[in-house]
Amino acid sequence: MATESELNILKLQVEQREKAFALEEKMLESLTLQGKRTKGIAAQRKKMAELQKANNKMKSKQLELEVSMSAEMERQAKKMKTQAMLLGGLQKAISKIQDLSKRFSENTRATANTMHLNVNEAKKLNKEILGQLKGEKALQTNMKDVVATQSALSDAYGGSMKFTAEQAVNLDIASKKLGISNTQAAQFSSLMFATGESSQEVQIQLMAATKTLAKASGVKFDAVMSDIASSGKDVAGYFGTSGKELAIMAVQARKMGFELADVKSMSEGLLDVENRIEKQMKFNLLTGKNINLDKATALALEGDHAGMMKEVVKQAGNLDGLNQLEIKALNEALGVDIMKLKNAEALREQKEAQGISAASIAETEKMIRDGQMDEFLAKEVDRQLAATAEERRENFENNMLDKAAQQLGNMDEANNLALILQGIQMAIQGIMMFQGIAAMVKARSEQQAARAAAAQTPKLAAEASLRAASAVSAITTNSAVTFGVGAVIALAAAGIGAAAMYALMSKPVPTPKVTPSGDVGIDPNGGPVVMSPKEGGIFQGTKNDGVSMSPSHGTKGGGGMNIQPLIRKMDELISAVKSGRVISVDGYQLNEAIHLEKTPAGV
Amino acid sequence: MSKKQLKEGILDTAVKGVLGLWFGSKLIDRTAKKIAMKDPEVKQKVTELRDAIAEFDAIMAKYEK
Repeated sequence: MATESELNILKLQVEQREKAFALEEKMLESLTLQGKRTKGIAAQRKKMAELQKANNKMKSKQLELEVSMSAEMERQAKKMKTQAMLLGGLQKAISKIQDLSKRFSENTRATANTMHLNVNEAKKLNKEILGQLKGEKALQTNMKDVVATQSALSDAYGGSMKFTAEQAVNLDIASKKLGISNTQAAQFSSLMFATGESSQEVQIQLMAATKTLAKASGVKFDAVMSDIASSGKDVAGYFGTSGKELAIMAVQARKMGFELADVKSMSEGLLDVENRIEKQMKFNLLTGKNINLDKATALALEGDHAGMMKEVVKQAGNLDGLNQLEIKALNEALGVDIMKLKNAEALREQKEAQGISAASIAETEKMIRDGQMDEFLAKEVDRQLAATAEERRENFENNMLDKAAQQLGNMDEANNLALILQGIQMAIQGIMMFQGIAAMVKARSEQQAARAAAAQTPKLAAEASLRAASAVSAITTNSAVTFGVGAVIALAAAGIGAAAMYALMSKPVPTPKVTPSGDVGIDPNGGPVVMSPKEGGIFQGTKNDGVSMSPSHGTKGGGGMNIQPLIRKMDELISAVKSGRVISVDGYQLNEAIHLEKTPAGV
Repeated sequence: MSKKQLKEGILDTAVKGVLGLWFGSKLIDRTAKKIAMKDPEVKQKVTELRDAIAEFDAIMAKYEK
């Protein structure tokens, strides 16, 4: 198998051969400059022809390798990306399934804790509830809220009754539509059950009717329901009244600023006749007023509590200017807090100003007493929304997820699905982890390979430079016999430069594993090529750049010896020799004719 | 899902997506290269290139003499 480091080394080797080829080409150019009589030109031409062929083949093979490698890499990468996508998708799917499994577990635990059930009972209850949450109901509420309502029902009935999931769902939705808490709804249901209204349908109808009556009476339905929840049982037990009457009484009390509990205490006070008369006389003596609560007592006895409250308010009259003793006496005589009586009067005036219709209230109360409550149910429940648009969306999403979790839970019970999924998940994660480790190891080995390749490069560069130096040497020798001193001086300068370069390249590089041959190469076709193990790369200058190295060079860049002027001079010199012009070197006049005459025989 | 959750979700996905794409592509390219080098056709091309270099060197050596 070819490794990446091998490929890198091959690339560097090809580059070095190309440089060597370029040097050979330069050498041929130089030899050609000396004229056709030079003996080595023919041999160099032959060598160049063979090298050209070999170089072309080498480049062609390199290109073929790159094309082949690139195509194969692309094919493999595509395949792996598809695999990665599939693996990622599978992992995501498993993750979602695990989320559902967790959701099922959490739902079961939450229901078990809320309802004080064991796991199996909680699972069964959840299953029943989810079975009820279908169609429109799935948008109006969710399992969590229904379980809370179920718990509220259980608490309100003192654990004496068992409720079906359907009852809990219906009550939960009704409470939301009526705008009351599930606790208030459950306590109302419990109270209605205690007063003989055992049907849940009737209970919900009565809640709707109470709301209609509260609205007609200008009182807050929520406050009425709170009164019923807090003291409904006491009041119902005391008066022995029906659920319907209790609801009407609660609205009437609120309408006059009282609470349901006040009706009971007022009635108790009035019906304790001896004490009531004594307290009434005491108040009359203290204030000089003449209140008479006989009629109110009679109304209490008749069970006309609304009439009783009205009469009490009427008898109390104007309460302004009463002192502390007088207030206490009145409170004792009436059985309620005087401040509420003040509220009652103010509220009565307010209701009159609002145009609250007594006829409408009476009509509603009559319908409640007659059990004609379908209209109220339709108006206050059926036509109302239990949730906002966003809540409906959330409810639907939660219910769907809970149902999916439920089904998964059933499968899990049969097959230990959660454990299987966990195993698959771990396997995928394991594969990905090993891939990651392999990639790191690979990166490490490539780094080492690159270092090894870097260590090879200076050797190749040195070899190429050696060839360059020998070429310069050959040119110099030939020039000496062909062109004379001027050309020799110029070419010798280049030879010295190359030799100096080679010598400097042999200087040890302070990099581990790099042989002391220097890290410089010269590309005759381009600028100098420098490989820096420290910088981790190969750099090439332009044709205008030169390179020289010594202990005083290379600190900040831009320094060093510039041999370009010398090369230019060399070119001028060669050109002058070729054109046969008279030239002067070190004060001596030279020309081509003189030197050509001095050419040794046989050259 | 609230806007805040959506925002966090998008940010989370974006960060994971960018990092995943970057490192995932690197990993895939690296592994694809490794596998490609095992391909018989690629191995054949490597051998041919080695031979071509050796041929070049042989010519150089021949004329050194």
